[in-house]
Amino acid sequence: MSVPTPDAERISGIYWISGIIGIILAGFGVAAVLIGGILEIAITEVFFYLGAVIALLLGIWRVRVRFNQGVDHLGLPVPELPFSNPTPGDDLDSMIHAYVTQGEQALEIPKQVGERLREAAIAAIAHREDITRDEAIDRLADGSWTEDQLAASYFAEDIPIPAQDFDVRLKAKLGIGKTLYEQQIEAVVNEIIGIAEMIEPREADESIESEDDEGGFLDRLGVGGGSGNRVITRGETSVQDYEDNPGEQLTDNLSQRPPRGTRRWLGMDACALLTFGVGVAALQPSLILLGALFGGYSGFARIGWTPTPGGVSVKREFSTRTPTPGEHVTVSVTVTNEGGSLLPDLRMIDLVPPNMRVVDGSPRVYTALRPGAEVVFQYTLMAERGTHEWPLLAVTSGFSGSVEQEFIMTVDSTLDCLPRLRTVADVPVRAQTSILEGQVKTAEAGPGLEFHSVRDYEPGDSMRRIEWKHFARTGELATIDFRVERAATVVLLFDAREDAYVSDHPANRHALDRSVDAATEVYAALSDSGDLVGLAAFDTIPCWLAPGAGSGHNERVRLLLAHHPAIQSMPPSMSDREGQYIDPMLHVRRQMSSGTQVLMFSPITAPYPAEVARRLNSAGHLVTVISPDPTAERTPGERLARVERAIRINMLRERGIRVVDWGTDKSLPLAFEEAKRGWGA
Amino acid sequence: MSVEWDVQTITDQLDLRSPIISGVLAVLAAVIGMLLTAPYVGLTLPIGIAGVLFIAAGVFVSHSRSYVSLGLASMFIVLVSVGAVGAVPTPVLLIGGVFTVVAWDVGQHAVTLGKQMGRGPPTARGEVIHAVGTFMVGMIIAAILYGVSLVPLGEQAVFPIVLLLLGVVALFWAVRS
Repeated sequence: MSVPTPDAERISGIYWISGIIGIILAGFGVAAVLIGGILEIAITEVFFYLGAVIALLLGIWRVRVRFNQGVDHLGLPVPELPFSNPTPGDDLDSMIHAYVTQGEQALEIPKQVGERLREAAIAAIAHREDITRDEAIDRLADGSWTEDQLAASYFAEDIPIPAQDFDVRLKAKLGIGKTLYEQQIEAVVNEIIGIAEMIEPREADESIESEDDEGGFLDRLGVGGGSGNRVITRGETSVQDYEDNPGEQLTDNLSQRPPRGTRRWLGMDACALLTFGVGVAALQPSLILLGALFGGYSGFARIGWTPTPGGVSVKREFSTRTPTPGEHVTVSVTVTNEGGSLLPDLRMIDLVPPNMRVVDGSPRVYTALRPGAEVVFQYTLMAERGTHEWPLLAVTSGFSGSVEQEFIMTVDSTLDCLPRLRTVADVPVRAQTSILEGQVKTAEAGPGLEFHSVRDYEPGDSMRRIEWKHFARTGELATIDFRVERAATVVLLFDAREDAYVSDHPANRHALDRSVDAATEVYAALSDSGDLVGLAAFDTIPCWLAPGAGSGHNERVRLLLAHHPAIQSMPPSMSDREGQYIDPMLHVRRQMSSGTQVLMFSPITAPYPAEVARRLNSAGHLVTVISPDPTAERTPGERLARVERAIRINMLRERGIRVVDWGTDKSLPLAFEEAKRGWGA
Repeated sequence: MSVEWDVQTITDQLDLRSPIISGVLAVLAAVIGMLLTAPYVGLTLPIGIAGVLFIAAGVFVSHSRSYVSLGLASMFIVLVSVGAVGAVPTPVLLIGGVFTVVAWDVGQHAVTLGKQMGRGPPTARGEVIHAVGTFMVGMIIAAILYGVSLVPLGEQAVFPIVLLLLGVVALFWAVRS
């Protein structure tokens, strides 16, 4: 079953000894019953006391085993928990944490961290002081960029690290405070923030500061059992794990994993042996009977029977089969035992995909099912776009609970969640248009609504556009020109790289989900005003829908937003999609006709999307970036990531690219309004 | 547009404490087991009460197995002490033993269920059946043992029979592993 270890061999040796002792004891027992008169009482007494001593010693040994091994129940998944998205900057924090805790073994880390801080500092200084990059580097080197000596000493070699208060040093030595390195990094980050003037430098909130390198959501919440006990496995990977590795296939819709001992009754045998030993020593028959009772329980626990839920049928029903994202769907699961055997201990968890959240009720049940009985449980989830099918996990065990076995049942039910295309926002497009009529006002003169100019009449001009007042005054015909309104051709381009699956809080929706939400609104607004809209994404999977209009096109857009693997709401690392890197410049640009605008959705948490926006813009496609803000400011790393993003946005704006910075607390129309004020449009 | 997911919602949904029914049953069994045996010897009464408190703390406060096991250890000391001085009639001792084991097992079950299922989902049916199952198994074993011990096989009869039983258990244990 398992790989034999020296420990395991030692234990199996002890089992042999106990087996032999058992045979001897049983033999004497039989002999004593059958031929009691023949054996001298003295001899029996010797064996009694010998038995008592052996029983006591074995009992003590079993107590020790119990202490060392402990109970080992399955850690079941927690589908209620959404997967925890990383927050931009977490990588930096974990590097710093790894360096501080592992010390010298991670010499690469300070180099990488230093490089990143340096780049951010140079960009911020150059931007603020309006100097060249080289000058900014000089200021870093001589320390004149900041007044904070601790921060200055990080980059400048000849500036000494300022002396620290005794208590700070003591705390750092004892490992309860921040080390000098951490303090220095915090000082540098705060100074960069101060220079960039984007967010007020402030003390990190210690209560929510992530201290562990996992950055786990549960760890931050402090959920998950007391110390010394197994902490429940986070839902993050477990649900996925069951789908990837369902174990041995039994029937079409049932597969099993190997049974596992829980060691739950470990300790009962110790009780039996100790009681027996004391009972024999004290010559108390009732105590010996009590020992036998404990032994009986121990034997009962040895029955490692787990029933197979072969005859169990599962029916899952939804309050609606085709919800829109964000809609609440009530799920009702009916489990019926149609087999012939009793299931005395049945735990079931509906393995809701981690991108959908359970908002009410519980997707679990614990019950016993006799043949013919059924159990129903209900919960409400919040639908997320995509087609979802998920299995049910059933854990069975016998009456004693000493062995558990997991079964994965596939349930035939599909939830298909399509986004609804609807307009709430008025989307500002840029003045780059196609030849088709639309609602973008151009500088061109012709038919339209908004006054442009008056010119001499030319034969063929529409009667309606003749300026009659002018004719009355002068007797000459003149024609009014209006600003021509044309349709724009717009491609909605998604940044769907792993970097886009980030959010400001592990439990919040990630930037790509927010982008797709925004895209449904933007698409509806644009197509209402007659613009031609296409979709594209840059990631490992090609995604391209040529600009178009009409109800057929709308339906294609809905389906693509819901189902396309490139923009699905599960991060690439958690899904099995494969592909190769796609250069958006090649893939997207080649297919865009000239005069096509780009509305790019990206959190801009990495230099790369900013680079894509810049290159598309200079290639003649006017770019507007709609950027959901996923940054937070709980830790130094997160604060640095926020500044880096702000610097990137500023650089894009300086190059004439419109950026809509969309904070989590703002609605999309509000973000547009704010951005428009900045453009002066 | 959509409901924002916040920390409060998650912690409300995910109540990973031990379910109440098993907790109550465990403490109830512990109290009965303790009352059946501990009062026979005055000195063991505080230990028995401590055992009950340990189990209650394990299932209601700390939700940890260590407390439940400490409870079993205390109640085990009570059982062995009162048994060793011969203060209790055999059937009472056996039934006290059954209740002690039920308290321990149901208490552990409560902790496990708390970690695997939590207080949110419906668990009552399974909990009651588990507790009744453990109780019935114990009562049946106790009845058989007591019945066998009453069979007149001479003065020293109990010892060989128990030796026999214990040998069988040890054998069974060795073979199965």
